[in-house]
Amino acid sequence: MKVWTVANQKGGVGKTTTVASLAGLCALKGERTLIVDLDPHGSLTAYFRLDPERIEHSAYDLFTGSVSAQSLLCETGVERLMLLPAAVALATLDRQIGARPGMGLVLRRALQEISEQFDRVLLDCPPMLGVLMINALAASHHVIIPVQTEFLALKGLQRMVNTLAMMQRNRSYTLPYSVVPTQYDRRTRASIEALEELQRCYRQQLWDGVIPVDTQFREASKRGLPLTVLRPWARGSRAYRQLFGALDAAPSIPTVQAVNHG
Amino acid sequence: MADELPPEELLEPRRALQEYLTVLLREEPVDSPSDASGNEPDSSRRVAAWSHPEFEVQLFKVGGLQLAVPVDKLHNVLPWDTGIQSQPEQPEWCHGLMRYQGRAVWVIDTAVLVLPPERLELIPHCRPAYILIVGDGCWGLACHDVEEVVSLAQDEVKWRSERGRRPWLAGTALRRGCAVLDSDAFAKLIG
Repeated sequence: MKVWTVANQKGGVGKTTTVASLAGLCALKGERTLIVDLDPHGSLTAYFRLDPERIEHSAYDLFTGSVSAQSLLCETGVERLMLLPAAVALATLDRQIGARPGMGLVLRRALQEISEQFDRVLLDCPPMLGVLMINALAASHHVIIPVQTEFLALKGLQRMVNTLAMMQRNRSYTLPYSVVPTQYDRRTRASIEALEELQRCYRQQLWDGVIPVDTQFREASKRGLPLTVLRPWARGSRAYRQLFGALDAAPSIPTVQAVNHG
Repeated sequence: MADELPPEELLEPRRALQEYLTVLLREEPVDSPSDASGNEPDSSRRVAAWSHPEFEVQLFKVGGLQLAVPVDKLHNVLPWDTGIQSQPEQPEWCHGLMRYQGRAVWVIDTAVLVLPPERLELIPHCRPAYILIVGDGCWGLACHDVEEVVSLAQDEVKWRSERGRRPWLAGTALRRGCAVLDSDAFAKLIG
């Protein structure tokens, strides 16, 4: 089971769209795919027509230890694609358990429980450093950092890269990451300059394509389907297909094995 | 005007973040269920004789796990590259034998001893960097990093009541968040 985290310490950069689009591709390819919404805003949960303010069981329950991860899985309407939804209560976790030893490893253990059921897991992170983001990074084999191609987003990227560096010092291993330029509009100077800046500062980690602005992403979210499933031929879908190919070929740290109960 | 309260002392930002990560990502060795509950009376706990009233420990890291070994029991710290030779039929928790001060020393794969199998699988197989020579110079503990020496009071450690399957785990230093190893117990490993 491969676990990819989509994270950036800035909001509005296309994290949820990236998770939904890549997950749709995985499912279409025949992979048993799980998406986990760790953002208290619940954008990914809402994308698939669940209400994070009313949902009964969610990723929050992983931290209370009251139920199994298996019992939290929901259908998405896409074959082979399951969702572990978010609830607004996730926003309280940092206050409740933010300094409790080992609480950054809860998700990793939960995913181990269900590792035989899925080939791929994609984690949608909140846009701030906290117990949820740490859980996602600790469970992950590869981090995908979407970056909106504009000046302010580059600052958010630096914060995210600093966080990864600190994680790596703490965990004694290198967590590979890829920077993905999003919402690229080749007609604007801001997009072109931001991409040039990314190429200058993050040459090694930068994916060599771009995710373009595409109004069809909005249409897909209205329909509750990944664009890559709804319209595989759309410009945005084609870009995510190229991204998936590049990420899937990239080396990552060893994958999660099924727990041996023998 | 009301008296202003003195500002609370905060950590320097980088250190605050580092400590936050350290706490959240702390791997804890698995105790027996009764140990993990922490509900046993203190009288049932096996307090190590060498810990009275306080003792110094050498902190070291294996994967993401911080461990401590009493300084009194530590012979030496050596770099990894010391000619360790794996032996036919050696136990899975050993890297092999090395020569130290004219004697053969078993170098222990510390991660295998202290972590349960399901967590062990998640630790990348990177080469250890140091060997801590303990147990009258007969044992070497492989580790990824050697950190500072700190002083612990006996009551800072939650001593394990049953040593059970992992007799070398003496207890947990709660404030430091590290497992304290009883290196004397390694002598019982090979009967």
